[in-house]
Amino acid sequence: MSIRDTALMTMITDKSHWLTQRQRVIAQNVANANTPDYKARDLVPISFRDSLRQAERNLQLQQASAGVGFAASTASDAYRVNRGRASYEVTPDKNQVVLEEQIVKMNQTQNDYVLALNLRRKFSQMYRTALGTPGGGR
Amino acid sequence: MADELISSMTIAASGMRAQGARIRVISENIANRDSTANTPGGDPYRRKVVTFQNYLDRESDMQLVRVRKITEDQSAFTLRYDPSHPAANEEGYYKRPNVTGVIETMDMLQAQRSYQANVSVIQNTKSMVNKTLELLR
Repeated sequence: MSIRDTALMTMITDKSHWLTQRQRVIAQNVANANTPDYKARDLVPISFRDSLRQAERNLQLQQASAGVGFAASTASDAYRVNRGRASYEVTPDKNQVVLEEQIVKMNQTQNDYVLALNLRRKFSQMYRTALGTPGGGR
Repeated sequence: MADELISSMTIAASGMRAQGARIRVISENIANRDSTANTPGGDPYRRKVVTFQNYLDRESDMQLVRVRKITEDQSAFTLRYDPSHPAANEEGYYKRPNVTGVIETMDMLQAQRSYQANVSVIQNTKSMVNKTLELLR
């Protein structure tokens, strides 16, 4: 079992995929801040329970098919985009992007992303410590 | 993964380009605030308006923004009395452009604000990319 197949690592990868995709959706919203008839979109949030369940299921699958040398990538490419939730501000040209809201979301996404990456780094350091490779104890 | 981040930047850049085009049109309007005709009864400069459109760029599979159309504002011209003006009609009135300075200024502020929002998306995304690259160190 490699480090990539652990449940925690799978979840971190999943989360960072979700966050990068969300960043893209937010960029889209901001770029369309003055487009008539445009509604702000967002991704459907991923729940901890689903994510954990999926990670564990994949882990079991891999253990069952051990020796195949196949590391299943759990992160699905596309997370569902939630569109059309009514915004609290609509301009006369029916544009529903609130720039401030988008900027807050963007900062949130960035912070979560940094958190995910830091967790990933810490985790791989722990792994290295356990393996006893030089420099692992940092 | 990084591909998503790169496309965020491309999308923000397309928004910046669209807002840039808008600022260009606004500056045309402001520059032509006093452009009148020089034949009697002729029409002066007509104010231009930009509208945006959200479209799917199939090649890169991204929802980008572009300028849909630059249309002319069909509102009425204001009349001013000045019989000595070259564009004055028989009654001595000539038409002035339908450009209002305050409206253009507000439009420009909004364009600037949207442009800045796109810039901050790019900065934000850039720092995310940098953080990812730091994993390699």
